[in-house]
This record gives sequence, structure tokens and C-alpha cells, in this order.
Amino acid sequence: MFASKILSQSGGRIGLLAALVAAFAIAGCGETPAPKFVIGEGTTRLARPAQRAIEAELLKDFGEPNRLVVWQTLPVDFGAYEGVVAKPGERFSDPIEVKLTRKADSKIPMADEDLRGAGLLWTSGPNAEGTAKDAKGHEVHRDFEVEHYDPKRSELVVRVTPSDQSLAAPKAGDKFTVLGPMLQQGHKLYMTHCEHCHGVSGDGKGPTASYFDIKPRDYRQGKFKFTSTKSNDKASRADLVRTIRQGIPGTYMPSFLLFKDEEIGPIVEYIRWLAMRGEFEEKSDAEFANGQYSQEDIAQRVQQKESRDAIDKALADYIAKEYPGVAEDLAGRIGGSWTAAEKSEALVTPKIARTADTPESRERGRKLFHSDTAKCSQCHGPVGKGDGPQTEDYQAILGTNKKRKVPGLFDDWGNPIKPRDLTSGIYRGGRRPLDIYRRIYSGIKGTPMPPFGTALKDEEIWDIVNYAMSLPYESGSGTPDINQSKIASASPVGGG
Amino acid sequence: MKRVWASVFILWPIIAIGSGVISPTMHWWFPGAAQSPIGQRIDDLFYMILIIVTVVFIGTQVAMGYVLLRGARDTDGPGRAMFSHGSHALEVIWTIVPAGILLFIAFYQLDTWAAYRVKENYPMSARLAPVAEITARQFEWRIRYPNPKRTFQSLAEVDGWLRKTEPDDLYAVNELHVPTGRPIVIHLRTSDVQHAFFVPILRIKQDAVPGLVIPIIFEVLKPDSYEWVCAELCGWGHYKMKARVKAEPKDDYEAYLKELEREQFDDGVSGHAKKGAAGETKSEGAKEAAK
Repeated sequence: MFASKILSQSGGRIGLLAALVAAFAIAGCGETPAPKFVIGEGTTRLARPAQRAIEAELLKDFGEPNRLVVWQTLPVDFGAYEGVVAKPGERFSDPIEVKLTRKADSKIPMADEDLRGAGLLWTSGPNAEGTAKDAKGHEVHRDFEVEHYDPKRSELVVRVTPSDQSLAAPKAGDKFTVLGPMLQQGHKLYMTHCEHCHGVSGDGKGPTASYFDIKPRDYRQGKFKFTSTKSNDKASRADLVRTIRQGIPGTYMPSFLLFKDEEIGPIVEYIRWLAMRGEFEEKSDAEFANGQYSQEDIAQRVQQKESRDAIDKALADYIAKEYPGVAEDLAGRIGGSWTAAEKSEALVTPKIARTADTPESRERGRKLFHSDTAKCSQCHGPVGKGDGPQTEDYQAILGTNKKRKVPGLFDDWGNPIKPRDLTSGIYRGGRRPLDIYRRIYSGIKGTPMPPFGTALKDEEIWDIVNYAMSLPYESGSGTPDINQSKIASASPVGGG
Repeated sequence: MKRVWASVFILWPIIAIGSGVISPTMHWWFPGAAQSPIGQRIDDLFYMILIIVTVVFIGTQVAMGYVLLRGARDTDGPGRAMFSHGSHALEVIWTIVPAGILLFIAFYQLDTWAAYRVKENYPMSARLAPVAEITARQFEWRIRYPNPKRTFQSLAEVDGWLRKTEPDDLYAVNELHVPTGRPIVIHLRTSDVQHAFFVPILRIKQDAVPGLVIPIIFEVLKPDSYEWVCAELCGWGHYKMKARVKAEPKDDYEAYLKELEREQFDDGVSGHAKKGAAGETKSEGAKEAAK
């Protein structure tokens, strides 16, 4: 009535505006859609049944962003607590007083008080079964979860899905395990600080990513560029911690130095978990693609007079009988490679100390730089400006013999990439001699920078390190006169 | 009804004064006492202006309240309102008095301004010992320290260091270490858009402007870790530019730089033999291998 009165009085426009403002004020902008893991490009190229099988497997093993699944096969510290009920409540949904202890095998620092959303498994008591009969007598699976935990009063509220008011309240002495609080915490922090570039699924396609010319890391190949590990090894936890703390100069990755240990621990676990999830999906894709179950292959097979029904049946058989085993196997292999990266054998440590940084050493380094063994100048250019002949050449597409239509170097994610301009003084993976040694020894994973650990002796690598580190300061070669900035004598500008 | 309206207009200045009086105890005030001499001088200026403004505010509000109440009471006044063309004398007074006050403030603050902004006023010892060059970028602070062994004989040499990096410079990010108890100079620049160096507890705020290297002088009185933020909206990640300033006594500060140097020139092997300032510090490779 109020609105209609205004409408009649002021010719409609103001009234309409007022009505709209009122409507938005009441309704807001609608609810934020729940975050979702998106399936990769590789999966979308497969036949529909294969796609569905992979999606179902991912949902079972990893869940959705708002319902993460703890899959113990993976070498991730999900964070685990053992608990005993000290003082029960009257009904199931009442707060119970508990005694919690962190499991000994979960060591990564995390915030003890934040257990919200973590899974809960009853190991004794009336709910240890985990399944129940519903009204129609069907077996239903029950998911327990920590709805609320108050560390000051040691009070825990448990939620169950599907919700069931008739559930028996736990008794004093009932035991349970809290699973996955680390993953939950990592997820929350990731969604706040990392997701807008690296994406919900860790595919490097967050909303801000499209504005960058240097793309955020897509974790799904399980490859990270700047590591302390050997060329075939994954990144170690320490590598990821270092990248997050120090940032990557020369890219859009800023430093998150102020994160506390109990924040950075869960974030790194979550990133590793996302990388494993992505790798699991990509490797599954490859399995199906090898069986010639991509849409393209199937179309071709049908053209070559194979029976469509036979193909479908074979695919259904593969999904039903073999894929579950393949999936377990893949998870084991992926997990194994991440575990291996933590071992001391994976770590690259020079056998001898850095050669003294003398003009002679640099000269030897310079010769190696141009030599056929190291071929540095092929990409990094005659004076290290990053403009070698390879940057003008047409490179082969990864995994094929076909040449690209555009000249220049590309990384494994298909993004154009430039060899480092060694005169710039910017070192993305760190400026310690040790960092540069490791870049040469292991290469830069996922990029055309190859490993030289076997081709070059330690002495030779150190000579190249000495030469490369001298490049920014060489007189006459485009020195990094950072800019021609005016050095202000008295600042004319105020703060603000 | 007239009295009700008069009271409403009188009530709000009373609420304003009241909330001003209680704000320090309610933590609506400064984030703590200024921890730098220049910050204390800025606070003094602030309080002086606050006192002037408060006196004027109370005076004008009391006068207004009096007039309102008087008008509300005198309902049986002389009938028609009086029309005045104004008073020349009054106008002269209310122009000259505020102008005088403003001029006083303008001259009174000059010294503080000059001490903070005019480079020639900085102590030569501080100008010849630049603590760091800070390059703001989206969205972090990159820090470059001159090597502790590096000495500067002239201002031209300092300018040279700002124009060109040197092989033994030390680098850090998002954590600036400074010595306490002496005036220090840092040089601020940006590699992309405008940012602002802001350490609230020191009351130090300075824009970083593309194309300029701007010196900032300050002295930290008490060793502590201070919040350092960007105070110029610099893009979508502006809120990420949180960092800290660690002010330390001379010895700790020097030990930090020594440790930074040892870390930066770590080759993963030599660290075995050396023991850093912090005692048992091995090189990273050695530490990791020991695990």
C-alpha cells in the first residue's frame, strides 16, 4: 500500500527505485553459492560414463569443499584427536564434556581449539556402528561431525547427518576419534587467502587469475617449480612453507610472512591434498584415455566399424571391475611420491662447498654457460638477458612431435614462459647460492629448464652459480639500474 | 514544544562531548602512546588543536543553547522580529580571531613538519647510514639493506646505492628490522602503483610514489614488534600488505643482519663449520639433512 501510494504520487520512477532498494535491503544479494570442485579439462574429454565414474570416485575419496573427505591412503596430516566422553548430555544433541588428546602421528602445527566441521568416528558406545535403519528399514550411513567445540570448557556438540533426534546419547567413557580438523582449517585459510588466485580446486583459475600475465600455479599436475628436491621428486613441505613465507618475487605471489606456524601448517597440508586430488584426477583421465575411451577416440573407433555397444559394454566393465583397483593403485603411487619428497634422499645438497667467487671461477662459469654441455645461453642468451635463440624457435608440444604454431618457450601448463633474465637480480626461487645451485641441479619442474645434476660436476655448477650471480653487477652489460627514479630531496607528497 | 526542540539541539553537543571524554577508556582512541619522538610531537600538535577546537565548540554550543532557551522562554516578546543589517565590529572580530588562531597553528606546526619532511634537517649521521630501501609492490614489501660492512662517505654515495644494487646487499620481505634509540632513515619506493608505508604506533605514514625514492626519518623508542600496513588503497590485495617492523637494541639488530647475511649466502655446505650469531645455526641443507 505504501509503495503504491508513492507510485501514484511521483510518476512511478522514484517509487520503483524505492521499492527496489527496499527489496534488496530485505533480500540482500542472495546467498553465496557453495564452492565446488570443478572437473578438469582432461575429464571432460572422456566419454560420459568415464566422466561420471571419475566424478563419483573423486566425490567418494575427496568430497566437496564443504564436505571434505579424509582418505587415509594419502600421506596428508589430516589432524587427528582421540577423545573420551567425560560427562554426557541427556539427549544426543546436548553438549558433552570430553577429554581430547592429539594423536601422536599427527605432528604438523595447527590451532587445537578449532575442530569445527571435522569428522567424528565413534570407536565405542552405542553409535560405533555408524549405520542405522531408517523408518522404512533401509540401512543408512551416518556421518558424525563436530558442530561446535569449546576448548575452555572442553565441550563438544556433535552433529549427525541424516539428522536423527532419536539417536542414543553417548555415555561416559565412550571413545571417539576426531578426523580431519587440519584439513578443515587448511581449507578455511585457503579459501580466505589463496582461493581468489589458485581457485577452489587448485586449478589456478580463481577470479583474480585472469588479470595476470604470469599465471598462478595450477596444482593439479602435482608440480611445483621451486623446490629443494631432486628433479623427479615432488616438492617437500618445507619448500611449500618457504614459498608461502617468502613469496615469489617477479610474480604475483606475495609473501605471507605473518602467518603463524599453526596457520601455515594446515594451509600446506591442504595444498598438498589439493595437488594429490588433481593428480589423481589427471592420472585417472590418462588411464581412461589409454583405454581409448575419450570421446574423440570412441568416435574414431565407431568410424572404423567397431560396435558402439561393445565399446560401451567394455567401458562399463572396466569401470565396474578394474577402475576401483586402479584408483587405489593410483592413490598409493601418488601418495608414495609425496612421501618420498620428505625423505632426506630427495633433498639436493651440494657435495662440496661453493667455490670461491673469483674472476677465474666466473670465467670458467661463463665458458660453461656457452658450452655444449650446459647450453645455458641457448635460452638465457649470450649475456644472460633471457633472449637466447630457443626463445625465437618453434618448440614441440609436450608429449608430441608436433611443433607449436607460436615461437617461444612454454611450460607444462601450456603458458608462454620466458627464461630468467639473469641480469635483473630477481630470483623467483630464492637468491641464496644454494637456491641457484638447486635450480641448476634439479632444473625448474614443469618448465623447459632441465636438470644438470648428472651432466655437470659440483665444481662446474658452482662456477656457473658464480657467473650467474655476477651478471647483475657486470659493468657495461645492461645493469639493473632498478629505475631512473628521482631521489626526492624533500617530499612534496603527504601521507594518506 | 519549543522547549523540547531547544533541549534536543542542546543535547547533541552534550552527547558529542561526553563520547569524546569516554573514548580513551573505551579504546576508541589512538592505538597506544606514540613510540617515536616525531610521533609524540605529532600527538602534541593533535592535542593542541583538539583543545582549541574543544574550547571553541563548547563556547559556541553554550551560546547557542542560551539563545534557544531564551527564545523558547520569551514567548511574550515584542511581537515582530527585529531585522538587522549586521554589525561591522562583530564581523571584524569573528574574522580576525579565527584567522589569528589558524595562523598560529600554521606557524606552530612548521618545526615538526620540517623535522619530518625536510631532508636537510635530518642528522647527517642518519643520512649517511641508510637502514634500508623498501620497495612496495602489489602486495608485499621487499626490503634491501646495505651490507653491515658497507659505509657511506657522502650523500652522493648513498644516492648511488639507491640507484644500483650491490652484490653484498641483504634482502628480506615483510619484516623490517631497525635499531632503537637513534634516528634512522629508510628510503621508500614502489615498483608498481601508489602504496603508503604506515606504522600506526610510530605515527609514521608516507606515500610511496612511482618514480620517486622518498626518504623517511624516524626513531623508535622501545624495542618491540610493530604493526606495519599499507595505507593507500593499492588494488584488490591491499589488505594483504600486512607486515611488521621489528625494533631492536643495537646488538640484536646487528646480530639479525649477520644472520641474514649468513642465510643469504648459504651454500648448503659451509654452514657446518660456521656458527652464526644465534649460536647453533647450521645451514639449511645441513639442517634438513639432519632430520
